[in-house]
Amino acid sequence: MQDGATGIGASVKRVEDKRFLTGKGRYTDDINRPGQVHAYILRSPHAHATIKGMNKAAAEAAPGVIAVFNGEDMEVGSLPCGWQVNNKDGSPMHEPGHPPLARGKVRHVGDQVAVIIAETLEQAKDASDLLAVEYQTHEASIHMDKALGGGPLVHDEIGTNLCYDWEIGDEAEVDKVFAGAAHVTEIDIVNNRLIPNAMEPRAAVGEYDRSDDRYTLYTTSQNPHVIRLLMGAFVLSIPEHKLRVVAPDVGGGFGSKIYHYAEEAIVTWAAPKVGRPIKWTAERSESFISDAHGRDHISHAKMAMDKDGKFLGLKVATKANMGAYLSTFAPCVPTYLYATLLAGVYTTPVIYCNVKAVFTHTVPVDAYRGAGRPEATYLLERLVAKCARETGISQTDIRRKNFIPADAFPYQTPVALQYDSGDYITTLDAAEKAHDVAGFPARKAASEAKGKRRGIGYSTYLEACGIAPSAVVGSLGARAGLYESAEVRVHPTGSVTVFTGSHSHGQGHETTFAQLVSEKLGVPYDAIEISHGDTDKVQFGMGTYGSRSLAVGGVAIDKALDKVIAKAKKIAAHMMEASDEDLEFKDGKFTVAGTDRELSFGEVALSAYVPHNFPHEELEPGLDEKAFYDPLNFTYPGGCHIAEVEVDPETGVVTMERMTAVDDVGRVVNPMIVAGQIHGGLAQGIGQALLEGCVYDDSGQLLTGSYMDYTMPRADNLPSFGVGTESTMCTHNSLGVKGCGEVGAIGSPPAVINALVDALWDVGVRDMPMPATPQTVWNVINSAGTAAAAE
Amino acid sequence: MPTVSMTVNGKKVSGEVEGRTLLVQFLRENLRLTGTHVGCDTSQCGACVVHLNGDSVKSCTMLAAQADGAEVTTIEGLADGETLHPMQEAFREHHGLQCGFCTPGMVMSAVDLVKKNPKASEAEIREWLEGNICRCTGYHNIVKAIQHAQTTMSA
Amino acid sequence: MTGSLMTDIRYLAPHTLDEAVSAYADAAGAARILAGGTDLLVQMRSGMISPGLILDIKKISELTEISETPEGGFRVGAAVSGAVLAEHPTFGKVWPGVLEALNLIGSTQIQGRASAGGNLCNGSPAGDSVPAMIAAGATVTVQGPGGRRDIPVEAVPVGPGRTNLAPGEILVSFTLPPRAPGSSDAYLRMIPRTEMDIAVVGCGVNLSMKDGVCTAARVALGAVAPTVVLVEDAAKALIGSKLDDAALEAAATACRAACHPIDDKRGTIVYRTKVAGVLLKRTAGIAADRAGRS
Repeated sequence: MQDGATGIGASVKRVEDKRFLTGKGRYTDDINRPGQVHAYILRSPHAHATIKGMNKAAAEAAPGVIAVFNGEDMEVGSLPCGWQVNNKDGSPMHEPGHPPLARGKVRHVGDQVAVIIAETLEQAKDASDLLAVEYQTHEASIHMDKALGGGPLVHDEIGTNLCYDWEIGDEAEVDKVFAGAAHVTEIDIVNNRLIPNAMEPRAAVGEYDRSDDRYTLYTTSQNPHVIRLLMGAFVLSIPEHKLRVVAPDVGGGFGSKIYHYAEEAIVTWAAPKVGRPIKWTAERSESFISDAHGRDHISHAKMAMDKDGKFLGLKVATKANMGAYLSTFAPCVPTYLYATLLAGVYTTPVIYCNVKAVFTHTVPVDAYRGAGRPEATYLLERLVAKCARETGISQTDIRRKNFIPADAFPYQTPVALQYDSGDYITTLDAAEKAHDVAGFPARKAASEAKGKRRGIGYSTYLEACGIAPSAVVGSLGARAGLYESAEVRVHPTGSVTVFTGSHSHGQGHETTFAQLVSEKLGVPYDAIEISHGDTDKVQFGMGTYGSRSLAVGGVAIDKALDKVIAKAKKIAAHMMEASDEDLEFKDGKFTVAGTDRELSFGEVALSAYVPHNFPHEELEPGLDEKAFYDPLNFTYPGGCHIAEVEVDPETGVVTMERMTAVDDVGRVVNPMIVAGQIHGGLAQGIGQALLEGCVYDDSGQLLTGSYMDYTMPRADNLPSFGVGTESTMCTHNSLGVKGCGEVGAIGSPPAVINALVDALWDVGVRDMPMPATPQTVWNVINSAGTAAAAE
Repeated sequence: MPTVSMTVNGKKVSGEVEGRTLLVQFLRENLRLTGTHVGCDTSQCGACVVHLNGDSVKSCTMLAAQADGAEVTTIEGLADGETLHPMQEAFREHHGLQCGFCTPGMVMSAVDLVKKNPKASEAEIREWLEGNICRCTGYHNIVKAIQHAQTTMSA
Repeated sequence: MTGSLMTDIRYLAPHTLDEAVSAYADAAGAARILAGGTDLLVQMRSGMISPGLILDIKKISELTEISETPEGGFRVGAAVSGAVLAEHPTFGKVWPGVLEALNLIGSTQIQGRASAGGNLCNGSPAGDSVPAMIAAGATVTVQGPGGRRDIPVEAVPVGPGRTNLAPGEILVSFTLPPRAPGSSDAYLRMIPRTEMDIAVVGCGVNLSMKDGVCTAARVALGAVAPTVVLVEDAAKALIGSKLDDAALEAAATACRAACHPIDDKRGTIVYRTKVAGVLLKRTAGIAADRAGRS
């Protein structure tokens, strides 16, 4: 790619960076509306309690206070769940109500109890101390086993803490395979609960304009149109044309800003009541107890193999924590985004998985970077590593033996998905080379000479992303379609504005999407602007999550670009008095085949808006095209991650020595941005493996409620990464793209833990929980002697 | 309410603050310099780092009153007109930012690092950055950007 | 805590110690001293405390000075930050362990503000600079309405969050004793993650070596008991030895015996106790290397 290139494949520097680097980004908390007042949310200090009474008088009388509302005051609809999962017997899951402000009972520490609105935030906060809430506290069900084992009910009205009991596959058929297997390897897996922690805390500004009876909500969202739909239609009964939702610059999401949260509804609902715009911004300690958490699975899995280590069947039982209420996407995460991935990159012919989703008195759990796929990958890659140990086959041989061959695509798995493309041997080979696996024995010897232990671990993973096909997700219980929309508006002077339903909160869409346009129209890169995040500007959109922006949103732009070119061709044909079949469009120029007649794209654009001699029956003025794109299938990135760790056996301290990832993400539009996405995913994956763990005590208090206690990866916890791509093209979208946002977080945790088990294998360690903090590692080492002796 | 005066990005400013008002609140709310961000409430994330009399400080870790009479530089004051500071340019060149939220604090902290330790090793850079949390980049490209700025800032 | 109280917080930055002592005494318990503010402001934001008066002592020269004593030791103002101490031309060469402990308090931007005085007055058993100061044999000067007094650092904390400073007393400075040749110190800590967390174990060792033999030693452990502890038995095990494996093991055993940790989520009793012994060995090794073992 030549210097200065701006099309597909160029590492174009990001358009958005200048404003972010100079402090001119515009995040929700930076927005200040005329007459704005401030909201403070009083939250439950108890995991499970009945609200016996609330005396608002003193708070209402406090200096600066404008209004105090509680759940009795705010009679609106329930925060909706967007996905229905059915039980084994076909009956629907339990779906309890979720009021924005608690009514009657609080169900987790952090549940919204009341909102205090005052002239200043300090006044609202001060007044919250005067709000007397009388609670009758109850015992709580914090852990899933207690919740399912007769523990207190989270929702009395449904009579159980079991949200659903779901399955995929034919259990009897799988059991038959196990009965005849030469070897069975079993594993218990806990996928630790995580707190997403986007660096920008959630915020919302609600505003109501009496003159046109319209509401505006500025919010930290990954999908403003979805918020408009959910909040407008289900919670506040505001029709779409009276509600504008703006998600301006958003400081990271990782899933946690997909969902419709109570605070958005509260500030929008209260704005006309107080007659002023209302701002709410989370403090970090509030984020910890009100942003949806991620992961939190407990599983048992077993693999049946023949005598040569060929996988014959997989059986999995998983319990998944839903928290106290069903968040927007929660039910689909441990089912359709998890169990359907259990074939991984392997030819395992039969698979059965049962999932029990459980209500507990904890913060709701929903999709967090990877969502279901990291849980599936972690389970499978830990299990495969153990299969290799038990059969005496090497970690790479057992994988090679069971890989889906590169010539077997499209490949139908036993768990619903059909993979379109992949080449797992190539990514494994490339990763081993990039990692210098050959040099590992020497590095291990050097570590041992210092009294340290060193290990290497593999993860060959696959994920399904570009979350879409409406028909597929609809059949799986989604209550919305998962397409994307785009509009390409060519202006008279040839500059272009693209309106996309995708939303950028760090991904760099303003750059990558502009590259698509520059490549296809030949328009200079700096004459292209990408507009997103405002429901008044963008026709519609499903937003950004599930690595779907390029694979769905980008392809929608590509479709709209095709329409623009088709229309422009008609105009050019008219201008050059040729037939549009004879026209060619290349490098920004329309030419008539076999002649020297040509027109630039800019000349055609101008003519579209100065249509002095258009035959208006055949040719409309203007050059502005829209497209909706609904893919035929998910996309299937995959690859190989290799981790190398060193352990100080005396203290349990683990250092990440090397982390290599070679991923197949399909066509790469901007290599610089793709590498950055993978780096970030790896950091979150390593964070899950070594540092991050959400801890509740038995009464439901969150013990890891600040950056003192919830250990976010810092620069000195991580190495520089070795990152590369080895791509096969997606076969069912026009760009060949797959997706790169989640691969790092999906592939890396099992590689890290497999490396730790490898490092400590010789001292008898056979398993390692996440997060592998020094104390945990130390405990495992010191209880391993007995385990090894028992073998 | 007491009045504080200071020089922010070369301009003399003053305003009324409460005793408990933090410097970051004064910058964001009184001066509307919203480039300085608040990412936590325990003085750990570093999104609020500014320069106070030339040194990087977390503006959530001091009261506005304590900065009375001081010279403060925020991210808005780092570039020279339209010309980015070499550290800003290095972050752009090396894709050292994604969502941009931690970026102002990260850049202000990095500028102070290169000023104090122009030849910092990768390990020293990573150690210095422990007071700045980034959730997007995995720090890989931030470290690369700072290494690049080590050459351009001394040039 | 009420709304009106919260908004009544006054900020005062006196220039003399007498002014500060008098304002502090007048506030009768409603005042909080602001040195670095790294803990105070966090506690205020979380609503844990709501002082009527914030007394900023950073403008009092005696509290922000570093000087050498006539005896050849150092006097370090209670509000001197780790970053400022790091820039002193000789302090870090003589007391590298004290300096590294002080610079483990938080990140660089925090070190620019956090002070040994604040760390000690917090009364946290896990304050990083405290074990190093105790190992160093430092004393503190305090001044109150009743005048000045000097006390050993280990006599200041009496329990988590509590000190035995009298009402109205302000911590003025630390005094570190003069050094014999062949002396040095070191501080190591064990944390569940990296720098920002509170130590699960912190170990300060200060020793003197002559002809390969340890002639003097002081050992202090943080975060393993309700207050930082001076482990005299560990020092005894080191003194007179060549810091051979047997002596180090005996000192490590003494350290483990001195541990009475709380069992919180950061580290279990067994882990803290075991790691205390490991850290003693490593810290003593570093201090001895710095002292020039032979």
